[in-house]
Amino acid sequence: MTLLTVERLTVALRDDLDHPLVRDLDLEVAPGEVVGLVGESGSGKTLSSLAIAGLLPPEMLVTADRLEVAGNPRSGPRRPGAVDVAMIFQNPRAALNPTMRVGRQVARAVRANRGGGRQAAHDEAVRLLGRVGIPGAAKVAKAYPHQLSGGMCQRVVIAMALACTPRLLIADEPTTGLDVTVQAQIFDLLQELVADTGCGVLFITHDLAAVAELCDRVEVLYGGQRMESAPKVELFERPRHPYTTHLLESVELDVDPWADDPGVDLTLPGCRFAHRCPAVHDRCTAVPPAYPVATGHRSACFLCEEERVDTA
Amino acid sequence: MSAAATDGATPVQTTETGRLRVRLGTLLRRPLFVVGLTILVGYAVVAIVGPWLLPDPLATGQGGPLQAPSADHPFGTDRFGRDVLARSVAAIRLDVVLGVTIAALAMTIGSAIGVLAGYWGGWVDEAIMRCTDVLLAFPGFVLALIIAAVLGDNVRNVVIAVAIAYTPHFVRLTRAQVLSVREMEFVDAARIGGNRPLRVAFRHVLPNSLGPSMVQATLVTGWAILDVAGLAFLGVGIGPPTAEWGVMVAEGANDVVSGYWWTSLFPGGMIVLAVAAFHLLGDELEGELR
Amino acid sequence: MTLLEVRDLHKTFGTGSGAVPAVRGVDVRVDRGETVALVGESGCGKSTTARVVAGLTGATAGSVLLDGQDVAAGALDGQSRRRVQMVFQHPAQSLDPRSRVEGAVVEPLRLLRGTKGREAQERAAAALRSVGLGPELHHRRPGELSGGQQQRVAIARALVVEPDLVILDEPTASLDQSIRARIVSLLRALQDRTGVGYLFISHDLSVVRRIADRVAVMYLGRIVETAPTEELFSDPRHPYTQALLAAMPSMDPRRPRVSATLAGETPSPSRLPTGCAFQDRCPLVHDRCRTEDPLLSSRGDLVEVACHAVGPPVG
Repeated sequence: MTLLTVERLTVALRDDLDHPLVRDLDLEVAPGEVVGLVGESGSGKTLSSLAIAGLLPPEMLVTADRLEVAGNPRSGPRRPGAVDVAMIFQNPRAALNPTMRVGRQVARAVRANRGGGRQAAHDEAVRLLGRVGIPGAAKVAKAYPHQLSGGMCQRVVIAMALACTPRLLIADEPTTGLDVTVQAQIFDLLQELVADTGCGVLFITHDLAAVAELCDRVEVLYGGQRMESAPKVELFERPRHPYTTHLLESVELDVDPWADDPGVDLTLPGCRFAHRCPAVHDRCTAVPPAYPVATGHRSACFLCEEERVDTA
Repeated sequence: MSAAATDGATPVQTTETGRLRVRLGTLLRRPLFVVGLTILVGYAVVAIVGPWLLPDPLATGQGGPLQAPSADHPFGTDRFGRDVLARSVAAIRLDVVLGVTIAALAMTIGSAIGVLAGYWGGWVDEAIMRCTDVLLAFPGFVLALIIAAVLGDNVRNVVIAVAIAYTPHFVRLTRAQVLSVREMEFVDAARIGGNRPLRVAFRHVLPNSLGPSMVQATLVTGWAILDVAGLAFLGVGIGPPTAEWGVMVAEGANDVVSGYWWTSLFPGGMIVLAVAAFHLLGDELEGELR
Repeated sequence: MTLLEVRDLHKTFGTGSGAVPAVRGVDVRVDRGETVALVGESGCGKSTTARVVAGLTGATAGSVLLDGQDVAAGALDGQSRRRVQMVFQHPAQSLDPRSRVEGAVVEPLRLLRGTKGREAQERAAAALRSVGLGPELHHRRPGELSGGQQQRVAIARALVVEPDLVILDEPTASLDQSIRARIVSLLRALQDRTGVGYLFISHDLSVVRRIADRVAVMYLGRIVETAPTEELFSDPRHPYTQALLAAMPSMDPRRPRVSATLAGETPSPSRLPTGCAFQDRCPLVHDRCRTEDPLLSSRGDLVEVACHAVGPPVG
C-alpha cells in the first residue's frame, strides 16, 4: 500500500483558472521511502506539497482525481486526530512561536494530536526532543527559540511533527540555510526516523546533491508539471528527459555564463518546458503522457514514446 | 512578502523596506477607498466650481438673516445674512489646503529628523527621542494651542504650531523603519559605492523608510483640519469674518440654542466628512501596504 | 604580486563580559588576479573578516594592507574605496529598491571615479553587457528582475569602477543551484578578462572548488587550514576540514552515505574554552589541545594547518 497517492493534482488561483500553477501532477510515496521532489523556484514543488498537506488558502483551488494518504482521502476539512501528514519548513525559527518555550510548543502538538493531560504531554515532549537528538532535552525544553541555534530549532520542529505520529513527513527545504555539518546531522535523523517508524518522506529541494545523498526516488518538476520520475541512481546516470539533463548539466560549471534563464511560462498549452527545450518539436503543444522507460522510471516527453517499456 | 531562495527566472517582488508599492488600480478595488476618494474629489470639484455658482461668502444681507435652508439657500443663512453654503464651500479650500500643508510640513521635517535619529543612533538618537517624548506628552491639540499662543495669533503660526504637534509622530515612524532598513545590504553597498554617510541616509535610507509615514500623512491631514477648525473655534488663528469651518461653527453656536441649527451643523458636517474621507484613504492605504 | 594582505586581524564586538571575539588573529593574502576563498560555517568570522577588509567596519587590532597601505583603522577613503568593491549575499536586498538598474551601476562610477553624464551611461551599459544584461533591462527596478539578474547587476556595479579586489560574500547562497554555476562561470570569465582579485566567502565547498585558487578554512574566528584548492579537497589535514568535506553532499548517487562525523554544534564565540576552540568536537583531541591554542604552521607545499595532531611533512 502506498503512503501517498496523488493523481492529477491541479492547483490554480481562483482568479486565474486557465493558467494553473500545478497541472495534473502524479506522485507516489511508499512506506519507508524517501522521495525527492526536485525543481527550481517556480516549479510548483512547494505549492504541491502545501496542497497535499491541506495548507493552501481559499484563494487557491485544489483539485485531484486522487489525493490519499495511507488510503484515506484528504478532501474536505481536516478531522483532528486523523492527521497523517506532518510538514516541516525551510526556516525553522519562523515555524516556532518566539514567545513560548519550545517544550511547551511540542507538548501542545502532542495534546492536539493525541489528547491527554498536561504532565503526560510534557513528558512526551521531552522524550520527543531527546528522540530528535537534542542533548539535555529536559533543559532545552525550557528554552525559547531565540536561545537555540538554527539546527536545534529545526530539530524542535521535527519533534513537533513527530508528535502527530505521521505516516508521511513533508520536508520543504529543511536544511537550506543550515550549516553543512548540521545538515548532515538532520539527514541522519531523517533516515533514522524512516527506519524506525516506517513513515515516508517527501523531501523538497532544489539541491541535487542533497537528493543524491538522501533520497530513494526522485520526482523532477518544472512549471508545475512532472517531467521525470525515477529511482535515484537511474535519474542521475540515465536521465530520460531534456529538462533533467539540463538540470544535471547546469550544476556543472562550464555553462554559458551569459545566457539568461527565461521564466516559467504558464500559458504554454502542452509541455511547460517547451520554450526552453533543445529538442522541442510540433507535438510539444500537447501535454506528453508519462511514458514508462524502465522499471519505476517514467518520463513525460514525446521523445520517449518510441522507447517505452511495458513494465510500469 | 520577502524574497526567499530565488531562481534565475521568476521576478521577485519585495516590500521589505515598507516602500509604498501601491498601484491606483488595486486601491480602487477597495470600496472604502473609493468612498473616501469620491468625497475628496467631490470637495475639490465643488471648491473649484462653487465660486462661480454661489453667492459671495462674505456678502451680508442675502435675503435676511437666519433663514432656514431653502431652494435659494440650500444651507440657509447665518445671523449676518450670509449664505452658509457659499461660506462652507469657500472654507474647503482654506481648511483642506491648510491641512495638507501641515501634514506635508510635519512629514518632511519629522522624517528627516527620524532618519538622523535612526541612522546615527547613539547620543543623537537619544537626544531626539527625549525631545519627541516631551512633545508627545501633550495632547496634540493642547500643544498646538500653547505654541500658537506663544508664537502669536495668526494663520501662519497656527500652521507651524499644529505641524510641530504632529512632527514627533513622523520622527518615530521613520526612525522605526530606518532601524530595520539600515541593516539591509543595499545600505552597505551604498557606502562601498562611495556615498558619504549623509548621502547614504538621505538618498538611500530615507526614501525606503517612508511607507508608514505616507499612510500617516493622510491621517494627519484629517486631524490637522480638525485642529485648525478647533483652534479657530476657540478664536485662535483664523477669525471672523473669514469663511472657515471652525469659525462658522463658533459663530453659529449661539444661534443653535435658539433653534437655528443649520448655521453650525453644516460646517461641522463638512469637517466630519473631510476628516472621515482622509481617514478612509489612510486606512485603505495601510491595508494595501501590508 | 600581493594585492591584499591581512595581518593578525582581530575584531571583537561589544566590551567586557558581553564581548564577542568574532575574528581572533586572521592572516590572509590575495595576489593580483587570484581567487582566495574563506570557508567555514556560521559563527566562524568569515563575513566579519570580509566586512573589515571592505571597510564597512573597523578592526579591533591587526592590519589590512592594500598594496602596502593600511586601511584597517576605519572606513576606506575615496582613493582606496575605488579599489575594493563588494558583492553581497542577498541580491534583492543589495540593490536599492527605488533605484533603477542603470542608476545603480552609474552611481559608484560617478561617486568614485567622477565620471559623468554620457560617458558614465556608456560605461554602465558596457558593464551590464559584460554580465549578460542588455539595455532592455536598464530601466527596471530590482523588484522586476529575477534573482540571477539581480546578482548580475550587483556584479556589474562592483566591476564598473574597475576595482583591484572584489569581495564576494556568499554570492550564490540565495540562488537556486542551477543558477549558481552560471554566476560562478560569469565571475571566472570576468576575472580572466579584467585580472581582478577575488576574496570569496562561502560555506558551500562545491562552489568554492570551482573558483578558488587557494582556500582558507575558518573555525570560530581562526584559520585552521589553508591550502591550494585541489590540495585541500584531495588531502585535507585538519580534522575540521575533514569533517566539512565528509558532510558535503556529493552529486554521486552511488556514494554510500556517511553519517555525520561531527556531533554537536559550533560553540558560541563568547564562551570559548582555553586551548583549541575545536577541542569539544575533535576526534583527535588530546591533553595539549586543552591548554595550548595551536598556531597556523606550514606543512610544506603551501599548506598550513593549525592543529597539534597533524605532524610536520614527512621527509
